[in-house]
Amino acid sequence: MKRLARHPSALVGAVLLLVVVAASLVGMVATPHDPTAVDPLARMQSPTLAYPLGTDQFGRDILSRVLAGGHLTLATAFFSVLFGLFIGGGIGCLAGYFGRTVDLGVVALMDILLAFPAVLLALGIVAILGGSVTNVIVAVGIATVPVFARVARAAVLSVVVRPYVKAAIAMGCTHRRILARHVLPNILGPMLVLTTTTIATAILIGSALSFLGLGAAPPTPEWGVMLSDARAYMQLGWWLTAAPGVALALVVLALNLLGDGLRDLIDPTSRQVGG
Amino acid sequence: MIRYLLQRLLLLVPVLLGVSVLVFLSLYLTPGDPVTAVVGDVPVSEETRAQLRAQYGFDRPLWEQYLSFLGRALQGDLGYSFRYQRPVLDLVLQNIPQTIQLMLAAIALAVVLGGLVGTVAALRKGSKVDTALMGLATVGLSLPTFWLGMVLLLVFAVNLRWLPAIGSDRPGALLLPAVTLAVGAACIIARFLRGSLLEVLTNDYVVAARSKGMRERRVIGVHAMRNAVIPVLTIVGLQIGNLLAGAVVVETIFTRHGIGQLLLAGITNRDFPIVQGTVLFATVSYVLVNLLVDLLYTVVDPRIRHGGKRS
Repeated sequence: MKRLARHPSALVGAVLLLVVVAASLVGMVATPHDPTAVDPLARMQSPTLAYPLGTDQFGRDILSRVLAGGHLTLATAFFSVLFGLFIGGGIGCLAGYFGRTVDLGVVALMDILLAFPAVLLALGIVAILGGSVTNVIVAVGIATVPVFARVARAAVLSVVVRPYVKAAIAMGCTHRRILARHVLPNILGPMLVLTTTTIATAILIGSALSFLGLGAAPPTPEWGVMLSDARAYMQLGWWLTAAPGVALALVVLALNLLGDGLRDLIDPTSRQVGG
Repeated sequence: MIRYLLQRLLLLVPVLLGVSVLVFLSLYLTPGDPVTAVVGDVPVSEETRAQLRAQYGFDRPLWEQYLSFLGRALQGDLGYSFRYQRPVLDLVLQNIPQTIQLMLAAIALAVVLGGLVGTVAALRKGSKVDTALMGLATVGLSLPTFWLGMVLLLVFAVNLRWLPAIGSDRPGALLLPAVTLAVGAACIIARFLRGSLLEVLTNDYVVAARSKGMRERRVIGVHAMRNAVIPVLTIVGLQIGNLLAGAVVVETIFTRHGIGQLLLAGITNRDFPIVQGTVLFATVSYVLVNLLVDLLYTVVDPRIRHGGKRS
């Protein structure tokens, strides 16, 4: 933790992420204006004191909408990565630990899933399930499964040959105990790095799906939806596209910086490359 | 070389079969019966439905249906869209030139831009230039493609009026979509190339080349670069998947009639044969392009050509 605080990009990333998450949490309960209240007299206003980020084509306060929409974007990405981490990480661990047929089967299946470009896989799944926030979580989650499975498998493979695992096997520990006590704690590092950067990717994919009209539906204040709404009016005011886009870019940047920092700390061999 | 090629091709067969199984099964995962998925929301008579059921063999065992699906796909029959009243392959072929044009331009831009930035940053390691360039690359990596597209559109097409905003027939129309698509890939290439170059520059043969008085330009250009681009090639290959996906968004923003637009229209209109056909087509192309990239390895790295192992 101390070393993390001294790593410049990790520190900037962590602080930025905390700010965005805190702002989104506040936005869940309180915003300066009602994020969905339509005000015909205050349409398309450029930023003023009353509306610091301007208003949209329905006179809705953009600052309020960005604040209120944050938790939806963040939660969608968080839960889809949780899905990918548990399912992908789980089967990756089992494949790496038990080897043989299990491993062959898992590797073959993951190779097939990886053959699909991730966003295309997510789009295909949304096409099957239909567009909604829950389905976007499932679709993005499935798209991240093979990545987690691969990294977990590789990490487990490098851990099971270590002496302490051999000793545990020799002492007659159960598989469950070896996995939980000896294998899992030692693969947490790489999984943490991957989780951080994958949340960033999941935010980008999830908001792109919303932007394409396949996720959260208007008038829900979600960043991707807001940008999609702004498309028809964007030449009438730059502030329509500025706030939700900057918010998206900031949170993704924060996660990428944090991921880079964590990678440097956890995998010292990459430090020379990471700079 | 031929042995390596055959080996690679053989490894692809199970993957491609697996992809086709998933695409085939997706029809059964849609809610409702498969005939409804095939016709979408186009109203058809009960007669047509029965005819379709017989034609696609929906009453036969699943494996028989799969074999006939695979047989048709191998002959280039990707299904039939009732909404457009045309075979899916026709639609794909009609839309693909736009996407290929966009992707080629984006890859070229990404490789040139990413290559330049990565090389300069590696040569100036630890300097302010390096920090600035890598910081910029991380920011570029974090920009949502659709937002970047909208911003570029707003600035260069709407406000400055330098370039056309939409369509694809006017000169310069390719520039904005290609830049939008290229930025993310360029940043990834820059980061990887920098890391790879730095690693290579510590090798003995670079030290040897320098110590015998070879000019720095030649050390970097000939000895280091050739070894550094090898791992980066894989990244370029994998980026093509991202570009394909990004094309869906970019084609939407810039109203280009490419394969991404076709897929999106398929999803929103619940025209499932189009979804199946385009996903299958795009994925197989992606797999084959990555095979080509793997083969490029053998050109750049003679160790593989001669059957040795990659270090």
